[in-house]
Amino acid sequence: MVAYVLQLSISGLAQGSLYALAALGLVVIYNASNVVNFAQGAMGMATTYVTYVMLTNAHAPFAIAFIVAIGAAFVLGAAVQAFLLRRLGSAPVLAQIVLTLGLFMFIEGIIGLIFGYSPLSIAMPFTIAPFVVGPIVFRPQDIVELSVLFILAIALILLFRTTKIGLAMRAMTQNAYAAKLMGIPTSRLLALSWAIGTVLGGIAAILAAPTTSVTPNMMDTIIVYAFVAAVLGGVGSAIGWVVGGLVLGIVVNLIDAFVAPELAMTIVFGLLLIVLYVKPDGIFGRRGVEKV
Amino acid sequence: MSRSNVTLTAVLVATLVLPLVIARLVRGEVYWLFIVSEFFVFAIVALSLDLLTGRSGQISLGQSGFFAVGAYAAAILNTRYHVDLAGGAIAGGILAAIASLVVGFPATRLRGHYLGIVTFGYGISVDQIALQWDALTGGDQGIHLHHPTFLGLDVRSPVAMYYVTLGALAVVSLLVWNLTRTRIGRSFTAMRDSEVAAAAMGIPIARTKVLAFVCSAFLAGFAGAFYAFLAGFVAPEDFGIDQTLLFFAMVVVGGMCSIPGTIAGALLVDVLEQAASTVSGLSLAIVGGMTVAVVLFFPSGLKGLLRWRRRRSNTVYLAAAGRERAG
Repeated sequence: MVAYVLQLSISGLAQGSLYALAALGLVVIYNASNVVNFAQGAMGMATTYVTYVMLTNAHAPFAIAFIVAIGAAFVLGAAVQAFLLRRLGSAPVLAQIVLTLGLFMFIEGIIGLIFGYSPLSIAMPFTIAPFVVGPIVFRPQDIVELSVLFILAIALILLFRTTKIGLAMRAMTQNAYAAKLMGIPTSRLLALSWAIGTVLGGIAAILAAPTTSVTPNMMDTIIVYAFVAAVLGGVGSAIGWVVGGLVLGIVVNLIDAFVAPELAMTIVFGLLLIVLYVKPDGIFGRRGVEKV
Repeated sequence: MSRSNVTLTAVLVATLVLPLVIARLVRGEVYWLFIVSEFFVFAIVALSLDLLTGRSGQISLGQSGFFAVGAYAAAILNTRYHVDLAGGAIAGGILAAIASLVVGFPATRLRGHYLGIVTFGYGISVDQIALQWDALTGGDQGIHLHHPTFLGLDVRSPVAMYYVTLGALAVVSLLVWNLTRTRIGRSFTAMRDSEVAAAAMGIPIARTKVLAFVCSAFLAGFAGAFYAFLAGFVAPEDFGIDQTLLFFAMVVVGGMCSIPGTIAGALLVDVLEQAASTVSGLSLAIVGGMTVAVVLFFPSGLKGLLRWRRRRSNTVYLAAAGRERAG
C-alpha cells in the first residue's frame, strides 16, 4: 500500500511538472502584461504540431525539429502580443479575456481543420522502457519531465534575478508606466515575455505529447490544471508555481486512483474555490494594494 | 412610423407567420424549425450571459453549467414526476440559481481573471458531475424525456415548439429590458462601471454580485429546460466547454448591453456554427476568428451596427478597449 501510494506520487510528480511548466509560462505572461492567456494551451498544442510536421513530413532529426518548434513558439508568442494584445492598450480585463479565448478557439479550429481530430504521435528521442528501483517503477519520460522543469525554473529565476533584462521585466511588473519613463523599452519586453511564456507552454506540450498523443485538444486538461497551479502559487512567487504544480500533480494522481478519474477536475476546482475564498491571492500570494 | 419600426414589424410578422406557411407547403421537412427553435433557446442563454457579463461586469466562462443544471432538472422532473415544460422551466431556473451560489459567493471576493478561471472550472465540473452521477443523470446515456407537454399543449410538434420557444425568448427579453430599468438593474450597471464608486453610493457590492449571478443563472436554467424539451434528450456532451465558448462569442459579437444586439449576435454565431458544422474545426475557427476580430476592430459589435444610423449615444463596454488610460 505504501509502495503503491509512493508509486502514484512519483508519477504524479512527473505529471505535475508539466502543470508547473505550463503554469510558469502563464505567470511570465501574467507578470509582464497582467493578462491570463487562455490561449496558452492552444499555442502549446500548435508548437507540438510544428514538431510533428518537422519529424513526419520533413524527416528532420528530433533536435532540429525541437529547435524549429521552439523558434516557432517564440515567434508566435511575440506576434500575438505585438499584433493582437498591443492593439487593446490598457483595455478592460473582459476584452483581454475575450481576445485570448477567441484565439484559443481559432487556433484549435485551424489545427483541427488542417490535421483533423484523430490522434497523431511523436517519436521521442529517449527510450520508453521503464526501469525499477526497489518497489518503484520509473519511466524515462518522468525523469526527463522533472529535469526539464528544474532546469527551466532555475534558468528563469536566474534570468529574473541576475540579468539586466530580468531587472527591467521586474521593474515593468511593479510599475509599467514608471519603467517606461526610466527608458525601459516596455513594448519590446512585453513581446519578449509573451515569447518566453509561449516557449514554456510549448515545451510542456511537447513533453506531454507521448501521454496525451497529439490532438487539437491535447492541452485542454493540462492547461486547466496549470491555471489552478498558477492561482494556488499566487502572484509573484517563483517557488509557489513550481510547488503548486507538483503538489497538484500528486493530488490529481491520487484522486484518479482512489476516487474516480472523471471527478479529478471537479474535486480540484472545489479545493481551488475553498482556497480562493479564504485567501483570494493564492497560498503564497501577497495581498495586492488596490489603487482607486 | 419610422423606417426602423417598419423593418421591425416586418421581421416580427415574418417570425410569427412563416413557420405556419412553410409547414403547410413542405410537409414533413421541418428540421429547420427545430434549428430555429434551438436558436431561440440559445438566444435566451446569450441574454442571461449578457445580463451577468455585459451589464454587471462579472465574467462567467461557465454559463453552460447553469444551462445544464436547468436542462437536467427539467428532464429528471419530467421522467420521474411527469412535470411539464412550464413547471420544469421554473424549477430548472430556481435550481440553476441555487447552483450559481457555488460561484456567486466566491465571486464576491474575486474579480477579473481569477473569476474567469473559477467559472471556467465550474462549467467543466458540472459537465463531469453529470457524466459521473449516473444514478441521477443517466451518465453518458443521458435522459430521454417522455410526454413533452406545455400547460396541456403537446409540444412534440415542431410548429408548437417553435411558438413556445419564441414566446419564452420574448418573455425573457421583456424581463431583462424591465430589470435594467429597476433599482437592481441600475445597481448592476453602477457596480460594473466602478465597484468603488458604487459602494460609495451605498450599493452593497457583495449582495449585488451574488444577485447578478442568481438572476443570470435563473435565466440560463430556464432556457435549459426548454432545450431539454426541444431536443427530447439531454446528455453531458451538449454542455461542454465548446458550448460555453459559443455563448460567450454570441454576446461579444452582439456587442453587449443590448437586447437586439445580443439576439443578433446569437443568430449570427448560430448560423455560422450550423453552416460550418459539417467540417470539423471549421466552425470553431470561424467563430474564434470572428470573436478576435470583433474585440480588436469593432468592439461595439452588432449593436454598433444596429444603432449606427440612429446616432444615439450608448454605453460601449468593450469599446473602452481602444481608449488609452493615462498613467
